[in-house]
Amino acid sequence: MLEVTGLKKTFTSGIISRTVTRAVDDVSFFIEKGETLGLVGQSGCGKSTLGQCVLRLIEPTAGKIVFNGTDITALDNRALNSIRPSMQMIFQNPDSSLDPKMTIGQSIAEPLKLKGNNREKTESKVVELIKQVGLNPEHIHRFPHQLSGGQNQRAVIARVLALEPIFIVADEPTASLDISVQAQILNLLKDLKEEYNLTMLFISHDLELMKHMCDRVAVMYRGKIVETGKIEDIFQHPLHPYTKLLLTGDSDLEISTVDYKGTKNQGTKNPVCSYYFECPLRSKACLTETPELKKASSNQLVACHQILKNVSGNTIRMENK
Amino acid sequence: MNFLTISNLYVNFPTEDGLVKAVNGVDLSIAESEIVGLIGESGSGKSVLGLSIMRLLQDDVIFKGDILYRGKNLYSIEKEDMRKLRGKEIGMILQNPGSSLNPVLTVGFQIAEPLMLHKHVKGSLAIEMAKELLGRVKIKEPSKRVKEYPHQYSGGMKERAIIAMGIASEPRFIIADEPTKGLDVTVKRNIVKLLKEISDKKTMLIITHDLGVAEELCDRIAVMYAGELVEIAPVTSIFESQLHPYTQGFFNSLPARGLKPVKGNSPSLIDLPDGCRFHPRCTHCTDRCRKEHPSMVEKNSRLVRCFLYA
Repeated sequence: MLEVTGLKKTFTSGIISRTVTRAVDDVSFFIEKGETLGLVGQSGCGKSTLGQCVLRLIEPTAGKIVFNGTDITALDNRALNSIRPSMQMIFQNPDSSLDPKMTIGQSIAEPLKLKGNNREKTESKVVELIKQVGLNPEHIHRFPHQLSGGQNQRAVIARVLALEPIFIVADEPTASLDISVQAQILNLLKDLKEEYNLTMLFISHDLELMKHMCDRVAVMYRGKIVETGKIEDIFQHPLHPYTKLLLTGDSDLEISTVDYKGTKNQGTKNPVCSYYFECPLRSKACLTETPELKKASSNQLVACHQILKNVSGNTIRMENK
Repeated sequence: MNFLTISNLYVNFPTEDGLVKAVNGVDLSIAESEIVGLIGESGSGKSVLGLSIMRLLQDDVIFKGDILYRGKNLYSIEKEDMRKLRGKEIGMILQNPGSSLNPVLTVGFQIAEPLMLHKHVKGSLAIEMAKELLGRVKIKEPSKRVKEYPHQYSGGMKERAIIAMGIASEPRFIIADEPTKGLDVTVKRNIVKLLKEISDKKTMLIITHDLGVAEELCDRIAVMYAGELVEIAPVTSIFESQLHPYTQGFFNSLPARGLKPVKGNSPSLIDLPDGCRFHPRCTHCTDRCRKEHPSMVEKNSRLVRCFLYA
């Protein structure tokens, strides 16, 4: 369904002393049809940028994104517009994703009108969608400020569904919601995903949520994917030290002096493995070679020299026996 | 004598749309060196309860009830005396570190300020103490950081600075309002660890909707719904079993507990339902719940506001 290879996004700032922030740094992954991939990481690790790059809401600096057989990085705007309806995004903050001057009904009707539906059909479809996301028809004529955050997020989901997408990027859809409302929205997303056989990229910093929502997870750290695998495998045997930290809080990470705004380009002074400063397993090898995402077990990929060394050591030993 | 006793507290805000009944008859007492967690959804009135202990509500609120702090009624003492109590005896750790710090003052000065005011420490010495406090809340290079402004701090560091401010003049009682809101998982864990360290021998009221934080830090949990407390229980027993249907729903909406939330939305505080406040969302609702308002009953040395146990 979606295949991303070597995706990069850099932001340059400063006129005299130019600093390059590599928000997304050479990321490759794939999502199969009907699958939910979770993208987890700390704030500022580049997960939202990645989510938006995948839909080309932000132009990626380099890399290739193949969606449903078409390379969307090569498309011009017109061609992109024709493919956009099938790939949609749900943003973090529902209150700012809805037009405050439009009623909920108008917001949901907008994409339907653009698709060329007539008025009658639009109206009946709006009612259908409203019901589907668990709102009442009376909400159609309300404005976003008259509804709660959870209700607004439902409206956003209805608007996204209006376009009948096959792929959705959900960027922390419940970050601004209370836990009981969060649970309601997540259940709704899960049901809709089943019903429409949606493929999803689910972005969150909460691994616990991932367990409920996703089939596979990719753990992101400072612009790079450091580990990916089936959800059960990641939870049962996390390999990368950062994943372990996220899951258990074992390693004693105090606020580091390195800021989290991506890898700053500082030439050779910068360690090659981005996790170097916080890593309990670091060694000299981590400073000379960038770890690549490699197979560590049958369905788990990890980018860490130390772990990979151990894994390959084990397999060699087993072969010798 | 209890350390803090809140009895029959009502806080209402007059607005254009009507009276917002934020706190409706709350009774809660906290013993010396006990840590109580106040949990509930946003809009349940928990922050207002925290602010009313500090007497930080605006003047036009309709207020009823008593708050006794070590035998002293906080609402019958002079404003000036309350100001002296605030920060010195009762410290507050506010939510939203981004907007609780003054952007045009250095962090060091803001931590030093309560020391200068309450402990009458001279300026340079106060800054020196602020440095020490920053070290205590585990901010690296405190001598450099003390001169910096809030925008140079990350979210987690700002929260640490706020905590440093809250504990600067060694208060006996600390109110922490959502100390981990908006922080990353790993940062959150560190803040919880830090709060645990400073909570030693202190009395605290921790307001949060994060059950993980509450479990980690508190001795006793009070659950708030629509402006009233619906359940009060020791932390170990409430995490084993929840009595009130709302508490059950609240706990079950955690991803780790199966993501089974309570249906519907919390009621508007302007137009509260009759009878039990929770009855429109409750699966055990009876006729009595619709008409009568339940009072707190004791059940296995826990308190619960539900007819199921009456």
